[in-house]
Amino acid sequence: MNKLRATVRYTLIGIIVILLCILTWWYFFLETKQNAVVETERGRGLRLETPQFSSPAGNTYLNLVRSIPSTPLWREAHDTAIAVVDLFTDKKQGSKDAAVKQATLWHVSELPVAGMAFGAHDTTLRFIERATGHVLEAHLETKTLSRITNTTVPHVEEAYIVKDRVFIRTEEGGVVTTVTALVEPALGTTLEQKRKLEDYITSVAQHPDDSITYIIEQPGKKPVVVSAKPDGTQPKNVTTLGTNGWDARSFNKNHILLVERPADDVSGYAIEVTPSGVSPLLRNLPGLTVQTHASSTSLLYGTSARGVLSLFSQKNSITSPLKLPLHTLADKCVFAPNGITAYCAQPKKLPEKGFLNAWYRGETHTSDSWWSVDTARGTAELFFDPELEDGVSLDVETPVMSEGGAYIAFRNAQDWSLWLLSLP
Amino acid sequence: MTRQTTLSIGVFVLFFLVCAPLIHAQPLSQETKTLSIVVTPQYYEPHTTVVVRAEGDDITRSEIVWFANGARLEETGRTASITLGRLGTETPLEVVRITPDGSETREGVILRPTEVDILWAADSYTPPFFRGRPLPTPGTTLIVEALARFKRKDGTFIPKKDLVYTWRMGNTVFGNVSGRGNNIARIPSPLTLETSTLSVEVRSIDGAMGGRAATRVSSHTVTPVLYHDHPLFGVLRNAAIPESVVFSDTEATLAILPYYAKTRTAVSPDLEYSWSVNGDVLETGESNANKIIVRTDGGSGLAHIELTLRNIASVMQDVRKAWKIFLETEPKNGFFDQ
Repeated sequence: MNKLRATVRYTLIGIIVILLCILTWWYFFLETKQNAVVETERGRGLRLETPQFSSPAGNTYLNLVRSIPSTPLWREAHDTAIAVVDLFTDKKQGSKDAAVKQATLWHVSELPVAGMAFGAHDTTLRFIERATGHVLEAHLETKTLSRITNTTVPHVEEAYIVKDRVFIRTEEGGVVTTVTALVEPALGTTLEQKRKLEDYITSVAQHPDDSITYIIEQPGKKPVVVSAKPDGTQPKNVTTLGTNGWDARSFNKNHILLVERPADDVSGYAIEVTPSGVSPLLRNLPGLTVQTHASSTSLLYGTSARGVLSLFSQKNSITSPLKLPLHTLADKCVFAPNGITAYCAQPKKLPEKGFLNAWYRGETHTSDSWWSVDTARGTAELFFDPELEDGVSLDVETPVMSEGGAYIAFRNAQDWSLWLLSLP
Repeated sequence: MTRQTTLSIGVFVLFFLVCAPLIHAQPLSQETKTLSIVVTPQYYEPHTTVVVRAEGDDITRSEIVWFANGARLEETGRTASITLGRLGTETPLEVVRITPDGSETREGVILRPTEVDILWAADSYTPPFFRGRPLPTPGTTLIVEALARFKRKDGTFIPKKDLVYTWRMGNTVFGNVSGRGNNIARIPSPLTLETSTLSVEVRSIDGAMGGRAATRVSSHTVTPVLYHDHPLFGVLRNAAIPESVVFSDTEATLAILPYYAKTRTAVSPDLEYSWSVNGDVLETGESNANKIIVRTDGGSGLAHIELTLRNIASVMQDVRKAWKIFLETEPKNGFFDQ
């Protein structure tokens, strides 16, 4: 009897062990399949974060930020830590420790933006999302975002904002399209009074009086410089150019400056368009990059020759240029409202030969620190190092100064995300 | 005296009367003609200092006096230097040579500074919104423009249609694009990867004013650059994909932009993209020949991509390039979060 009971007991124990083994195997089998399903669904765009419908910045924006990792999606193989050498930290040029603490950074948008501009009174920063064309507004005091428009324009390549007007530029099959529209939150969340400008506009400049100047480079035709009303109406041909590759800039209270697109070691010109024709302002300078001041003749210009970047300031066409103690592009600089102070982002590591061409092609990036420049005296002072203070490496492009001079907004060229620097 | 003797004497007297004065006048005439002023440099801009030199007979033995704007210069040697005024000014310059025998010869020129600039760009491909210069590659054409500012004393400018332009690349004169009013020209880019001097010489029709500009032009190579064509953001031109990368995804669309190729658009009948991934030749559609999709079926994998880009319009533009792209399944948060 005891033998029978023992046999039954061992049999039951054996069955239980076998069942446990089967269950364990089943658990791991299901887990493996579950992971495979998750991977597949993630690949199909499913299994993302639960969509939010309560963000003032708009559901699309928030859900994109939550679901899409910051771009680029790739990283260089065999990445090695880049030895960052601050070549320009000169004690004579100022103590950074005191100033650094006052300047602060805000990563306004993690997603690529196509353009941005400050609102009046230094309270808001409007920007246009590259993926959707939505206009968003960043509130600088509260550091919050709200969406202004929800009219979707996919793949916006470039955008300008002038007060309540936006210029949205897209490209398809080599044809560049420029559309202007009004953004009026009081009227709703759509782009109002949309108007398409001519095709093949390569550059747009906004003047302080809100009028615009743009350049049309139609294939097979000579480039034409056109001035128009803020909404693009009443276009008037200002001049015709013999060569292509020009940018239009506004300077000295609604004057037009045309700047040849730069390349390393290639002579560049900046010419002013006058009623009697064109007049060169900067002549035969290698790798010329130019930054203008909207309401004065002050210029900052950079050169790139034999692998060396140099920066100069020039008060007007008569005075001699002043060499500044910085090695950067004018593209990384912006004037303060007074037209004397400028702020420049300077690469912390000396760029190599051919930097300008490679940088424009997106083949190389820099890690910049911010410098305050006195263009009249020709001095520069380091005031903010993002890598040192915030642990971020920023390759500054298209910096924009707020009206009151308290903020600089700029894109990080590494991922086209939007940053805001509060000045000390 | 015979009749023949009388004739001989007559011929001699006639010869003496006609030729002797000529023989005597010859040196004077030569002296007048050979006095000249050489200005260095040949063409001069406003506010520059030029060196003037007197050339002619007996210069070394003569006293030289220079006058500029009617005022005598301190320099009394064979050379003098003068700083010119702004655009539109004229500087009359006169040199007086006083030979040891006391004879004086004068020669004068009017110095009119001019400004000439050369603007150029190649007709090579750069993508829309690219902020750099279209650079020349063998087979492309340079579009050049001369900006000449020839300002008269009355403040008016000589219009470009009244100026004669001579275009040169190195020592080669491009006669077919040179000439009156030809301030814009199309010139072939240098054929080899060399640096050449592009120059233009400009003269007013009456020859009274002239100017020259020159610039160095280097030929480059066609540069195909690989980018991620993001489904939402489009081609991310800000971040070129280097030769060896790890991609945090199982699938990616990649696009080539053929910088500086002889084409107007990245996809054109002239451009032939031949792709291979891990040795297998890929077929791409005509409309998106510059794009490929790489993917792994679930796991991680290495894609060895090779591209041969041929330009039917120019054999000098063929180029090959390769990338190693490792696709990994585990999502990462981008370059700086590794």
